[in-house]
Amino acid sequence: MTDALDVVQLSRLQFALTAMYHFLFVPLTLGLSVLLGIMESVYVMTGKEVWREATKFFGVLFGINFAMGVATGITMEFQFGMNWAYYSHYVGDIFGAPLAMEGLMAFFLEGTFVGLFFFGWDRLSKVAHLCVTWLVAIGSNLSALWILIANGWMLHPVGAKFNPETMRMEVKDFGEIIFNVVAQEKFVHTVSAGYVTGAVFVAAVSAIYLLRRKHVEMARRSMTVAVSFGLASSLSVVVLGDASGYTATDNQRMKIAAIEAMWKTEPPPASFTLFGMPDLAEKRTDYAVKIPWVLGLITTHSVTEEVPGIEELVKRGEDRIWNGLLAYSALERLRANLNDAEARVQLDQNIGDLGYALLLKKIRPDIENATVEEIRKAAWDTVPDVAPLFWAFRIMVGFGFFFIALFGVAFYLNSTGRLLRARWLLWAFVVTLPLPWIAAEAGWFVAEVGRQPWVVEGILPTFLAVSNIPARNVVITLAGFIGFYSALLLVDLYLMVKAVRLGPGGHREISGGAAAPAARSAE
Amino acid sequence: MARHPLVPEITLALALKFIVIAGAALFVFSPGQRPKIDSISMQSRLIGDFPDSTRSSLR
Repeated sequence: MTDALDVVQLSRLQFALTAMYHFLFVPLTLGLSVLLGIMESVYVMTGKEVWREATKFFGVLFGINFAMGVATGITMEFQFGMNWAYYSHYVGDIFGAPLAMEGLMAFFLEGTFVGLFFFGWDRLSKVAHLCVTWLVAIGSNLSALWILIANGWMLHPVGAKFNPETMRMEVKDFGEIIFNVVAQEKFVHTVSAGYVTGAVFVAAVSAIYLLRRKHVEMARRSMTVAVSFGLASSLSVVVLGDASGYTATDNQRMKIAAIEAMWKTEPPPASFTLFGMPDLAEKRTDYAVKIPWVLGLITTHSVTEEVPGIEELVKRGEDRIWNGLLAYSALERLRANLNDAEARVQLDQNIGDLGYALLLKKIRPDIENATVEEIRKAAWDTVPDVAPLFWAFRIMVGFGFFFIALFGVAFYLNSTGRLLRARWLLWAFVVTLPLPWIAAEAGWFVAEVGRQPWVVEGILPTFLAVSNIPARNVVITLAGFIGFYSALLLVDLYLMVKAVRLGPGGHREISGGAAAPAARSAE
Repeated sequence: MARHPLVPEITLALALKFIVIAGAALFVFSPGQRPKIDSISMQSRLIGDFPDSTRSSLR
């Protein structure tokens, strides 16, 4: 392979950029939709108009964000066909089903109820509108569930079987795909991160109003909701993240070893590297600061179980490549004669390692003639880029603990009636506003870069999944996406800032209706 | 029936939307843009030679 940007790298870059843009909007939609449900529930229970105003005001911000999220999400689905055609053929039967369910959830359930949320305030009863708001929240979360089932399958491909006649993976047990433990862990962790984002967003907007002494009645209420919801969510995101790490030790040991820059297997329980400078070329971590026992306890929940290091996992990878070559030669014979019973048995016995043999394709086309040295090199290709993973993980976890501390202090001060006077804490919420997004993007970076070199873990290497298209085509669409998405982001920020400046009641101006004189004169 | 004041804007927005969709469809469905993958092409990708355009680069 050349060192220049090739189709594989460009396609990965394009997907990464569009996914990261998309995920600027998704977590806020997830979190804000639930917060809207909570605020409106209080309105229905108490009848106080200020809660209705709060729901409508944050509803406008939700609507702007929701529209951008949908617009940026659609293009990602097209990329599977355009840039990842071989991936789509190989695993489309499995991946396509949850993706279609996600589309149905987003467009039919969520989209319908978002319309009713905005236009139903004066047309529906209080309770009916509250049901609509909760259905928007449920729809948002369910669409996230389906996309994470699809993504979880790429990390832990269960419930599917390779068919040598069609040359693709086919569904064996759809229930296994839906209840895939990795997908479920990922779902609750991701959704909790979205709740933290929503809570920080509402807290930051409320803090701006409280610092400026504007819309104080609404802001102190929305701040209370955000602080309590944020504390619960930030605690759950860390607990569920730990569960996710525990699951990853079984399914994606290499990712865990790379995140920890753990080159050699340590005697149990393994220590956690708090800080260090990982060096992939030298296969060592300089200036490592280690905390005894912590990694072993986090990842295995035991003091006796080993966490395998990178070198041991590479050795296991070598063995799997040798097995994979048996599957490869069986597949060659089977494609020449589909009735070759002996080849079918050999393929069935080694099919789990076929993907490992395919790693050799990056080194030479006639992989059955690969040398021991080439097999060793291919096994080292299973190690993702250690240093960026190491740091991205620490950024995510560091922010996660910071959110617990911030919401913990705010919850305490709010419970004792001192939050509104603690201007430093209100400023802290304003400054914190970008951090949940940074943490979420870092989390996705860990999940997806940590999965490399696989597009489907152990089954299909990423470089075999891309389309046969010229690199310049990907560059053209990549440039288009960057331009279009940057414009969308600017529009989103402009509308958000405008809506926050107008404040509660101002949403009528944005939607083209009459201004809300009562709300504005109250300022 | 009185003409709604937003009719020109909505018409323009819909026309622009249609142009964008039609342009995208023409691009996506034009010859060579949609690689058709079947078991034979998957076979040549996985167990055949692999000197194909995934190695095409910008250099």
